[in-house]
Amino acid sequence: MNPDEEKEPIPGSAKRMLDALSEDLDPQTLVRLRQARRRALESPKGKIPWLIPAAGFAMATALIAIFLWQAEPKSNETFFAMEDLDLLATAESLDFYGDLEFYSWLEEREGAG
Amino acid sequence: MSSTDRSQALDLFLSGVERRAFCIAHITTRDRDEALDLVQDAMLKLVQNYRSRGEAEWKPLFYRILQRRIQDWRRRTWVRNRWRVWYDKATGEDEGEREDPIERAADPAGANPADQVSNKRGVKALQGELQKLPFRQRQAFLLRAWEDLSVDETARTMGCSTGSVKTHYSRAVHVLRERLKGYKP
Repeated sequence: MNPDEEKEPIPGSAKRMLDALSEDLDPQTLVRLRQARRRALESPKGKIPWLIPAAGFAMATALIAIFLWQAEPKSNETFFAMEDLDLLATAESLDFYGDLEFYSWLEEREGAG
Repeated sequence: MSSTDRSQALDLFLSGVERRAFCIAHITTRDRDEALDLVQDAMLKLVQNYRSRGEAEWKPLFYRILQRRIQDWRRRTWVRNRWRVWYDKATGEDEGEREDPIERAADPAGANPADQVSNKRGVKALQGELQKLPFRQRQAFLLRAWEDLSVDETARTMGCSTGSVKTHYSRAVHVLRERLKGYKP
């Protein structure tokens, strides 16, 4: 194909016919094209879409951290668990522990006396 | 160039290409809403990512984005149609009841393009013949013949070699010349 043929590809010039096609768009389509252009021009600058997954990742990390922190056993709970274990393992009768307050009071009185 | 000047320049550029971009998308999708969505996506992408580029780069960049959007649309449509065919077979639905939207679309070219004499019908004839072209040939033809992109720019836009562009374009021209040779504008 020679260059002239390339420039005038079909009879009647496709370019002219296609221009006519684009000039003949209905008003509603033209309005929507204008709206699309406005939206594009008013869109935030920069690569905002990258921020969305980054923010999501940060939020997920924070939630996981909060969950783990909440699920972690408290130190005093550990202390009470050890205390319970000690209570069960001791040779003293359980009645002794029931009267513990009484023995404490008695000890204080004897100390004072 | 200040931000305001750049916005005005972009506005001017987009207003200059939006009609043709819509027509290019519409020739492939045959659906106004789909075509408008594709054009808007391309505009958004250009403004968000390439507004700081030189004005001379906007045109090839814009058409490159648009062509990719159109390609993505074709892939999605293909997958959707495949899924629909599988679903119809699985559910035993009569395929005859569901028509292919491409087949169902009205043929804007009419009976025989060569017999069309009015300009409007000639335009429709060309539109119809373009729709019948293979996608790559149509791309090459529209970008070269209508958008006046160079062979290099067209190759970058289409993501192929310059040799492929020449081949696709040459075949498209040959087919269109044959099919529209009786048309007198």
